[in-house]
Amino acid sequence: MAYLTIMKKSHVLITSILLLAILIGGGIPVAAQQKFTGLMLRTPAAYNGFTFEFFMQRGETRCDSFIAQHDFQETDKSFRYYLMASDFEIDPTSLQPVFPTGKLILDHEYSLASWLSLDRDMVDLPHWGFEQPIAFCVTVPQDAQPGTHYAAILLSTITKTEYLSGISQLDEGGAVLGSRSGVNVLVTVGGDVRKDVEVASMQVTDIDYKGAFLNIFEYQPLNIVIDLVNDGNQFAKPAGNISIHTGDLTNSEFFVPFNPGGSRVLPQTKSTFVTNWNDGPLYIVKDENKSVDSSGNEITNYSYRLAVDLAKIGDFRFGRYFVTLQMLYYDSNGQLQRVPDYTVQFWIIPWKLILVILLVVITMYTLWRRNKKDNVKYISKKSAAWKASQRKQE
Amino acid sequence: MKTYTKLHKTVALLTVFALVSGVFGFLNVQKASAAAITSMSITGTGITANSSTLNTAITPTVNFTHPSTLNTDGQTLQISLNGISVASGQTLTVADLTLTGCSFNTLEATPGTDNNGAHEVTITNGASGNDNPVVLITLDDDTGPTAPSCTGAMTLAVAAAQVVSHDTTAANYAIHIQSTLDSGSFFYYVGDENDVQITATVDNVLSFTIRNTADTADQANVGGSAVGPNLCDLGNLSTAGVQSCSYRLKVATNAVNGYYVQVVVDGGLRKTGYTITNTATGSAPTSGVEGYNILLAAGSATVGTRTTCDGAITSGNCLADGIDWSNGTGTIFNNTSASTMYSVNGPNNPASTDTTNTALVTHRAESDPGTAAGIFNQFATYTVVARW
Repeated sequence: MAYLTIMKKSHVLITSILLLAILIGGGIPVAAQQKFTGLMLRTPAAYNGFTFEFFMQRGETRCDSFIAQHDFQETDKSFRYYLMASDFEIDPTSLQPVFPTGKLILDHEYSLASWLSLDRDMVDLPHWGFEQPIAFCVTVPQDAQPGTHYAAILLSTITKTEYLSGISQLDEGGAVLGSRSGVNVLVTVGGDVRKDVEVASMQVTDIDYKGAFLNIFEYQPLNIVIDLVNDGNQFAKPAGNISIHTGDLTNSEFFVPFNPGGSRVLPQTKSTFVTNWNDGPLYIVKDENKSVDSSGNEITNYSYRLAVDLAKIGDFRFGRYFVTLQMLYYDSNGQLQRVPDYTVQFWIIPWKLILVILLVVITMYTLWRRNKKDNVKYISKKSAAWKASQRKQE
Repeated sequence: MKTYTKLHKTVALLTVFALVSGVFGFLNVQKASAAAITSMSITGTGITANSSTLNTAITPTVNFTHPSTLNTDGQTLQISLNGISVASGQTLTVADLTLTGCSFNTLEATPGTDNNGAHEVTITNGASGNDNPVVLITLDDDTGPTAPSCTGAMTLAVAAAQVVSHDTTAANYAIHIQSTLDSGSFFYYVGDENDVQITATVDNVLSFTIRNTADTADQANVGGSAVGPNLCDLGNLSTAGVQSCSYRLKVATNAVNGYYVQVVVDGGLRKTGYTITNTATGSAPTSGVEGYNILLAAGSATVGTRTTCDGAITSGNCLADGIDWSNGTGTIFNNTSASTMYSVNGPNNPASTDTTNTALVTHRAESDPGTAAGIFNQFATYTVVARW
């Protein structure tokens, strides 16, 4: 009987532990090594990233969808997101997207948000792994301007009203943080559409995107920073090649595709494309150093050091180089257009290192010369003394 | 009776002997059966190891190792070229064939001449358009007459171009090699019947969440709510020291062109009628002096390169709005127009807990005796979009 009681107690204990473990662990089975990324948006693999691209005519309606998925570490916690379609514009100087504040619709010829309709105002994601398709439609008005129009569909932790009017005074002090993330929609309305892509500028910069006096750089890595401008009214997706050579374009030191990811240049905007070049034995490494200030805040500083990779000694970079952009794009009629080649000259001369080496060599030579002179003097002196002593003996 | 018994015994003995001899004789026949031809393959122009293209001209060579020795006039070697067709308008003849592996390898059409050192060849299905031609070689002595010796590594090739081609039907065809002594078969893949195409797709993924400083949990929500905006609680701003709160911006994406992280605020840290003085970029709030700004440690990305807008870049990588988000000491945080804090030009795949490939934002504030009492708030909205 006593044995049975012990058994019973053991069962109760084990069951309790199991229940506790399930409660603590949460009800949704998730792999131990699962990465939790938060609100996950997904578009089909066939799409080029997070940009929906439609070619439409006036009066036409097209629909599509993407997926919002719960991928939060808090597996049992329900998250709610509010949907909003928002125009954005490209800052002509910074070339960055700028979302409007206090409004969602912009009054410019590339505006699209007002043409978008969403199948819901909000989406609830009750537990980990739950996914919800977000459907949307675009209806092009009869009076739409030809060309590309663009906007974003955003999922937001704050309501549309809160975004437009702000959050009223709270009982808690501090910063209230709203977060929005979403997909881009580009609609090109048929008619008099055109692309006109040109190279606005091409410059070679150092690791920190800074230029150099007379384009003389000391070490790699170097960045080829190209700004393209699209004076047309339809987006363009440029392609081509970047070659770095010493004057003979057919004999490149470095040859890579330009814009391999297929980024677009929106109409009447500039866009920046960066290509990194770092294949030589001498290169600068930028280290991130984290420290804590007197108030306990994490501070980040950067330091630079010269690294040497002897395995790449055959690719030692020194002297004058040219970087040439050979660019192509399809115009609005589907004809391949080749933009005139654009070439910039630059130098790689580790002049500080050379100066140090020269200084060392000159110093050593000077010391050697002085030492030699001293030796000669010493020997002459000794020789004269010896001769004198010889004479004396004679 | 005695004679009968003797006879009976003799018959019994003979019967047993006959039976034993028969059994051993049978076993001996089994022992003499054909050995297996090994190392069989087909090579040549137009032939691919695992899936040759349908209906293309080929010059095949059948390679094999014949373990026994064919060394008697009249012994045969037959090769069935299944999966091969005679091209339209062509005829497969002895002149198109090449044999190696015998002591002498000359071939002639049947019936040929006896003991002339040329083996007689009979080709079945060798006419134009026929499938699966069969080549039968009957060995011949030379003029010696010396018997041929065919053994070890041997080949039979259709050396002439444009005479034969692959079959028009995709299948795994068996090529048979049969000699008087040995035999073997192997599969020859024509078309893609033996191929398995493995496909998989990966969706485009973009994730964004605001996490706590250690990236171990989601940042707390306003009012302890389960949903809605997050809160960075600066606590009570005494004059005794700078108060701070921090959080991480965690973006994960496989977007090859990267993403932008943008922020806009609704004004300063304020209550009705009073705004805490903004501490200028490049300075940190100091103890006992009213001030407020943030510190951004924008971190890295696992694949893409992160660029923090510092205003120093005249190119389009960064903002010219005067906000230096890369300042290591502090950045004024009162931009009521959206501003890109940082951008990444490629994918980012942070770990489940990752303080390297996430951005740390620290808000810092201090009051002084002149600061109005009350609850101070600021509303910041972060927007993340992939580059188009």
